[in-house]
Amino acid sequence: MTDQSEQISITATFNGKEMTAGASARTTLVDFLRHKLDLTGTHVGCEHGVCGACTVLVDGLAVRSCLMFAVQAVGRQIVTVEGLSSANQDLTDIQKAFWERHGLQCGFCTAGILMSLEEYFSTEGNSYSEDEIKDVLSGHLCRCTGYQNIVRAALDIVSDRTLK
Amino acid sequence: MKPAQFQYHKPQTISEAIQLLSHLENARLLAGGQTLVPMLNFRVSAFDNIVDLGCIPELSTINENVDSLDIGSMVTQRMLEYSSLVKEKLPLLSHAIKYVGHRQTRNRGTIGGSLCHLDPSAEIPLVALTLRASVEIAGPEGSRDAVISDFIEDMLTPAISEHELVVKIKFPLRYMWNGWAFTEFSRRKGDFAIVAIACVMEMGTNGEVKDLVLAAGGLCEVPFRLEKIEDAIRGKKLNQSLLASIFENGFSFDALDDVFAPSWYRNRLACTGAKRVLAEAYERCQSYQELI
Repeated sequence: MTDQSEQISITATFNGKEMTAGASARTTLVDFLRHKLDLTGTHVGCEHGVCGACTVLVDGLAVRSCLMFAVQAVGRQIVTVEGLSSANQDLTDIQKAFWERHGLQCGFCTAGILMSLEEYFSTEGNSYSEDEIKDVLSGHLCRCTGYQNIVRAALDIVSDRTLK
Repeated sequence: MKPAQFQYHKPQTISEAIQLLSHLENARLLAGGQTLVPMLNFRVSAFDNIVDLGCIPELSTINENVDSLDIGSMVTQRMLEYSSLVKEKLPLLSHAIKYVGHRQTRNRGTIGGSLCHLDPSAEIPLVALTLRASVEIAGPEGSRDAVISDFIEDMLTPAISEHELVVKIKFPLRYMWNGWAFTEFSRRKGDFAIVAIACVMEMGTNGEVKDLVLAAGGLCEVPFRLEKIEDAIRGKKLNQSLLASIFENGFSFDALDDVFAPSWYRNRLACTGAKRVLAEAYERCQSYQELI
């Protein structure tokens, strides 16, 4: 029987780079990202999967990082908001649309929303629709209630990508 | 909040998982974690040992057999949503799965996890009951099958011992359901259902309802079949006057009661929902008949 607070070594790919850090079994993925890897772009909100602030991509799928333990991420590909565009790169078209449409107010929920839209726009082919976008966004709470501009930003991406 | 400390176990096979369950104290199986982890985070529950089923590949497969579609307990709700096989064979499940939580929780939430949690308003147990599914359970004494109506023991309580695990859910394909319908009432998109109603129907050669299953979730402690209504319809053609006579007195079940949805309101919703799904399922039967 080992000590329950024992540090487990966790190696996975974070934003394209393989990284290793130790954490106890009970450490959620979001706490691991923020406290062990200093990736503080992902926010902790409700800690029970409702608000969507902590949404990250795990093997390409948008999931709640508060509902997953860091040990479960071993060997997987994790992408956080920091992985969308690095310091010297242009913003992604999704990020630009949020900027141009003022798709955020306080910004606390934004990192999670960007990850969900990143998944949606990378897996749905060309069959984007406003209904589906609202369905994706329904998994996120914006307490500033800036939903109209968030939807507008997402619809901009639809028209941009469909035109291309 | 943060979960209490526990030891994490990651079995690679079903037998390894069963072995762990038989000797670990105060252990809990972790499936998709979309209900268990919030409970741990809030410290509503605390376990000394967490056994993660996420690394057992055979639990994540969907297999079509001659007479059943077998879905592994760790198949995610997303896999069900996007599976063309499930859409073809079990259109009711394929449709209802979109009502389960949000896209982001369906990406990890599993069919077996939802079935074993047995929330009264959950869609998966309701659909499994409607489709007369059975559950394959593995334990220290080997494996056994349980029909879903036996598996659903009580509110949040499946008929399974702490040393057992659900391996797969078997959906029978021998029934000739040519109509189905599902409806759900909730306060917001993705919220728990206040009431959900599911129906499958088979139409006879003269346009009569040869057989049907009609079931309600969220209404009482566990999902259950509305057998009296089934009996009143079986063998008859469905029309407005039959529906009106069946539903004349509304529902008066001993329904769940809370501040958002009192018992009388759930009964009213269930009554409305049942009428709707019966009409919709019958319509599907009719358009199916026209096709063949």
